[in-house]
Amino acid sequence: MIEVKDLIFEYPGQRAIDDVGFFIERDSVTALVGPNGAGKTTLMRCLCGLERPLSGTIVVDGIDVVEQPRRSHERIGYLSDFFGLYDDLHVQQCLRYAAEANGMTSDLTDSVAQTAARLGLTDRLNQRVGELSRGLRQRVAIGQAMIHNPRVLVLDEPASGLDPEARHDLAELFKVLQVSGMTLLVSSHILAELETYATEMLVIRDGRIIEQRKLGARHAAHHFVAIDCATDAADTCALLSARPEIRSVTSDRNRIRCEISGGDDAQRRLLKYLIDSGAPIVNFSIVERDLQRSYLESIKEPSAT
Amino acid sequence: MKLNPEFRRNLWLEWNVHRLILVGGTLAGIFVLVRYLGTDNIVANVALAMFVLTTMAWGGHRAGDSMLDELRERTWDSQRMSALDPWSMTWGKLFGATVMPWFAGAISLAVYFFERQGPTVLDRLQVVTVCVAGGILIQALSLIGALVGTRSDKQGKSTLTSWAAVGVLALLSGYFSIYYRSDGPVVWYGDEYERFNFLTVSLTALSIWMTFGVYRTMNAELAVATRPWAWIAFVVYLTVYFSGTFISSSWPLTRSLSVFAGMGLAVCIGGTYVSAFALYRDPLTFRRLRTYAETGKWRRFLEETPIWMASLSAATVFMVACAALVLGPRYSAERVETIGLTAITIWLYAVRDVILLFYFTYGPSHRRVETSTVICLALLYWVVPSIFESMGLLKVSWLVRPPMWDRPILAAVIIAVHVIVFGALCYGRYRQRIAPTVRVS
Repeated sequence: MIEVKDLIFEYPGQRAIDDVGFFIERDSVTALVGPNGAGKTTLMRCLCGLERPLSGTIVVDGIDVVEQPRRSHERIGYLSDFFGLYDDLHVQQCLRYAAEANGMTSDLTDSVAQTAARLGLTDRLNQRVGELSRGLRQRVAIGQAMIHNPRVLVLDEPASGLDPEARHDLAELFKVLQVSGMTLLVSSHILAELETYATEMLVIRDGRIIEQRKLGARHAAHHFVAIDCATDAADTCALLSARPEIRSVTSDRNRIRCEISGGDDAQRRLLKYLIDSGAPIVNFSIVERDLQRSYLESIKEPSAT
Repeated sequence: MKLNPEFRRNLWLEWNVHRLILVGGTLAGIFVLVRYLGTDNIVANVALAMFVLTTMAWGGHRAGDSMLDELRERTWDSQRMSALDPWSMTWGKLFGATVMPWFAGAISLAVYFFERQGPTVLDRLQVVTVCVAGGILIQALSLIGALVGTRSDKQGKSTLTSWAAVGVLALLSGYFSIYYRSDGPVVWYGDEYERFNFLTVSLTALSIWMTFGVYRTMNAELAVATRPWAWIAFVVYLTVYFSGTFISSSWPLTRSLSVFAGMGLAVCIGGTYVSAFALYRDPLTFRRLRTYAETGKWRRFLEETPIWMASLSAATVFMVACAALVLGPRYSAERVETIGLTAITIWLYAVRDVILLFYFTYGPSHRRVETSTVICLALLYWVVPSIFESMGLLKVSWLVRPPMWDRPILAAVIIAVHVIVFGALCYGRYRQRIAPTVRVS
């Protein structure tokens, strides 16, 4: 759905996006994460055709964004991190304007009603935007970005400033949008929330993509395994280190933590090997890595490219 | 009929019963009061004054604010992300944001039309046409000023571009008022035209150009790629227009062409200064253009060529034409020097001054670039040479401001040296601050 190749974007004396390339699958929710100043917002603005890169290509739903930015806007919805709204308009007028400005000509009233219902704004349609709370304004802004049913929705820090309940509602909305066939790219610093709906993680640091991975154990190419031993773990560590599928081993007295390549089969073979070798194992379990841990590990690693 | 969404949005914001009653009632009150107090035609004259006040002053302000409001309220990104085409956005803003000033203006013009005693219906219609063209011209200029300011002023506090627009407006007003107040017909390319007819056509054409200018500027802001042919067409139009006031139909062709080339050079150099100072100067322009040239992307090269560069390129053509035309058999060696070399020197001055502007653009601070450049230019053109002259060091002052008309060859050589020296300084700063790209950290 989104294909980026050799993308370079520069500010004077500074390369904000440095030869970036990645592919985002259709109907996925990708979490774009990285430290402050890593290039997340610049990358998102380039994807939306709001900034013209120095070189490289960006194709969204088959449209070259660099060459045809206006055409691509029919397929992309974007919520800026510092979005603004027309405070003097009613919610209904804001949504209707967004729909018409994005090329919708028919069923406008239905579209406005559906979008308002999705975002819990039905009873606010005749209220001025300037009178709404921060959370409700955020919902109106998201409504404007998605009312024309774009194929791709790019959201820069959509949950900032929202209360926990509103964040939960937002996460539920993203899941619904994904199921309805929308591809989402979401940047946020609140990783725990991204985890509830993100299917992929894209880590950017110093303007470079340092990792792209699917989230959830079923997708992982390697796993962390926690092993508890009845006695000192030194001998078991030695056994593990000799195995080719083991990527790393750390131990703390009776407890071992190792990283293993491969899926269920590899784990089964490793467990059998340890038991056959007489290792004093009392527990063998997969450690689910949360997004926070994945992110921190990615960030600490040296740059991949 | 489907209404332009941008126009409709502006109507939602601007057009309401309270304001209609307030504006209509105020104007009606003024006109009734003036009728009771004044003499013949005073209502018509006050109506014209009210048009200037509402449509030109208030409307001009609203047109610029329609853009600046988007920046202040941070809604411009969502507008840029819309699928609205540049023309819809242009007229939606230009006439939507100014709908109340135009409502007031329409009342004023209607009062003028029916109250004015003396002139024929056609004459009164012509006055109405001039007023409408003038209103559109001012509003379009104001919107252009706000639009070109968006790149350098993301917060919507644009001042420089607004002042530039006011400056251009003052020049235009002066130019047109001279024509309007003078007696006798206008002589243009040797033919005589009735003065007010000439003004009507000139103003109408200029308002069309300015509306087109808003459209082209909107294209750039909405990321619709365009090449700078429209700007070139505009400077050629101005060249043809202004040359007409000098060239006589009885002149030989080479003389007419010389004046035309000289006028073209003057217009293009003026365009270079205005566009270089008023428009946003992307420090990465040269880097981008070099990248496109190296990768053979000539279409994108043209699309990202800044207007000042297009203007300077056109000036180069006119400069070469000036130099070439005086080489013809009708001219002596002296004229080659005085006209041809002076044209080259003027062109070199423009190149040097643009280099100086970029020297400050590449500086450590992005603020007050234009002010620093203007101060530096004042030193070069006036202060330093005057100091040397007052000390009796006339020839030393030539090193800063050479005598362009008396010693054209010397002047061309000295300014060429300036170009090389300032060019080297500017390139050094470019390499220091722009070219050595470092990754963010």
